[in-house]
Amino acid sequence: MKKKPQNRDSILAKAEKFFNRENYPLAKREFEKANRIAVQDDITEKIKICVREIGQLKAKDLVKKARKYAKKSKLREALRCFEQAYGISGEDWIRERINQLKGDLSSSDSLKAARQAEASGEYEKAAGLYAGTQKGKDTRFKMAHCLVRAGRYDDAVSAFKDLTLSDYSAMYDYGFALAKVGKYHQCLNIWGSIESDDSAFLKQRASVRSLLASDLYDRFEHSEDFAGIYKEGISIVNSTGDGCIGDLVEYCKYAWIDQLWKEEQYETIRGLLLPFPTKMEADLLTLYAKTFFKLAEISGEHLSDLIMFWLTTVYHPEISWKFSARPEERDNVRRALIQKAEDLLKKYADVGDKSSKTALVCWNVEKKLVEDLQALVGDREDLSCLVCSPQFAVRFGKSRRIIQLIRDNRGFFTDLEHYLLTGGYYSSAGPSLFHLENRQYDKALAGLPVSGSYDTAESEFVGYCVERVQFACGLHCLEEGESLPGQYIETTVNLFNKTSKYEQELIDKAIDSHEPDKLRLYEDILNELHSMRPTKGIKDALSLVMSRRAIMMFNMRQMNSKVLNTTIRKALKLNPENEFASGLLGHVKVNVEIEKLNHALNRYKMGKACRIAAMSENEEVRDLFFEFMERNLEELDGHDMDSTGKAFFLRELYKWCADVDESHPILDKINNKSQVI
Amino acid sequence: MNPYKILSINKHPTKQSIIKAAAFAMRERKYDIKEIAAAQKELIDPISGITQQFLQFIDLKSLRDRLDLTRSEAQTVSSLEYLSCFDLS
Repeated sequence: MKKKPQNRDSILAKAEKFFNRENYPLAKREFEKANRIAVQDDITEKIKICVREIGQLKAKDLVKKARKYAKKSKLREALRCFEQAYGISGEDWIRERINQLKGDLSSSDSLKAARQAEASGEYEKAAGLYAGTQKGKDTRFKMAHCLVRAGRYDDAVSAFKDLTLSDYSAMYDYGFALAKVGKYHQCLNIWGSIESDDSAFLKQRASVRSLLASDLYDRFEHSEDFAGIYKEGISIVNSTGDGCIGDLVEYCKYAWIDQLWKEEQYETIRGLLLPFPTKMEADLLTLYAKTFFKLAEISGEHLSDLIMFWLTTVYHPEISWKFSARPEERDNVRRALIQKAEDLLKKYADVGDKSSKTALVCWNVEKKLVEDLQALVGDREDLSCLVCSPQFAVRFGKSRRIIQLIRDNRGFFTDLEHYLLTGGYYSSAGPSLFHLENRQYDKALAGLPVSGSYDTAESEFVGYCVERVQFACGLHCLEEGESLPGQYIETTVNLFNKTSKYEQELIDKAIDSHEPDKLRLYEDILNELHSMRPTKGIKDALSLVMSRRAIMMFNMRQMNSKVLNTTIRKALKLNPENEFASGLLGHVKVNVEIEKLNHALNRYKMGKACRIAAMSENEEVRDLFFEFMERNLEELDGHDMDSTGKAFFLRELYKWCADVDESHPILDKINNKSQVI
Repeated sequence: MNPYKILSINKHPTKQSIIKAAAFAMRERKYDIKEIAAAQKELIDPISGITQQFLQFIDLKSLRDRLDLTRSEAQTVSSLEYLSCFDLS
């Protein structure tokens, strides 16, 4: 079928339709058809628009393609597409992207070349080429590596400076470059992170250490940078032992301390003196003591260290000899120095926290102990090193010898308590005694050494400490109104057997107690102690506590007269001279008779009532009886009773009263009443 | 209080030098008069003088002198050869 020719209007309509739908290629074709029939300016314009839009579409397509190529690292293809797109659209960003791609292409070429150069050992060239590439992390490491291999150590150090070293290869390279430029300490720091058993590496590390040692000696000879030399040297000593520079490092430490002392940098000095050495000779001891004194002048933070060193120092013969050649003056200086430290401790204890107060308590104890040891040792030079505080003895391993010294000189001590207490403070249980002094009962108990964990030589002292601590803790429990665990009784008896002053302490506390619950606790413990150790003191105290509690219970109506009577008699049996109990007993008797009398009267057991009243030695009982009778006599008129009955009652009443007291005035009253009736 | 510092005086002052130093310190007015007087008193009294000397000075010479500072044979840095044991390539 022959195609029907189209007219211009229908072609234009079709073209417009395509144009409005943004289908520019078809729109362009139709507009061109129409223009071939008759050229029109507006159609020509629209054809231009179509051409421009078609170009933009093409450019978009090209950009899309270019990006895909770039993504696949096909940089050359990507560049070609971007260039074509730029030729169409001329947009600036496409031009920038083209430049970037050109750079990447060149960098990629350099990287290739650099790798080739590195592989063939041309490190200098490779480093240069790596430098020309884009500086990614890997490339920078490679460049630094090539710089090391090329022997450009300064540049290599600069290149490594800002890189984070993550593998041994980089660490080795950086360390090697540092060593080559004379920075041995930094090299060893870096290489310290390399865990390797490679013998060549270990040997090389040792060589660098040796170079550092040599360098430190050079610096030591030409400068006074003792701090710097010490800091670098100590790292070698700490990591490898001595490293041939132990003495140099030590020397620099003391030289630096000298400088720090002048600058009053005592906290830094303390840092240099820690940890404490195992042995403490006189000059070093003085340094420690003075440093902690200076620190204590500034703050109350290190008071326990001051106590530990100060007393030991001022009593040290080698040190105190330097005070003065004259013994009297030497003693005066020692006293003055002790006073200086004590003033400091008091200053903190007065305004300070609990730890300062604790420190002062410890000081007072240790001061006395060291004085005792000094007196015990006297002029014996071989023993003078044992004059030290318990803390110092523990820290520097002198406790065992001191314990032996105390045991060998039992006669020196004023009494058994003095002997045991001194030995106790220097024994394994010593810390518990210090806690006890500070009323830290839980700590004192927890700090006691377990049986078998201490030396047999100190067992008598430890045993004493256990008894002392358990007794004090037990007493504290009683004061707090808590009962005692059973095992304490036995250790308490042992303690009392050694020294009776603690027995008296318990007795005093018991006697001073006035609350029924506490009295009960004291009565229980005294009872148990009495069964194991029936001393007069315990008997008397038990007697008093027992009677005091009984009357309290009676007054609170928690005990009847009968039990009260029994208890008081028991108390009097323990201590017949218990005046409190014997006084009570009289009152108790009256109460018992009154109770019985009331009981009989209330039940109209008049015969029994008469007997009680007649036999009682107490007026009070008879008075109560006659009061009852008087009341009955007075109330007789009110009773609904005939005359015969009343006369009978009065005769009975007369008989009861006469049985008790034939001369009592009530008898006349009864007679008068009888006559009236 | 460091009386030596207050009086700007050396470790072993004579009585006369202490008095002179105290007078100078008073003219200088760097420290309070009371402090200066206390410092002078501390150093003039024989017992507190020795006490202060002990407190304010350290002498570490004996600790340093016993140390052996003989250096061992030195190596040269040029003897360090690059090791390839950690080479990644």
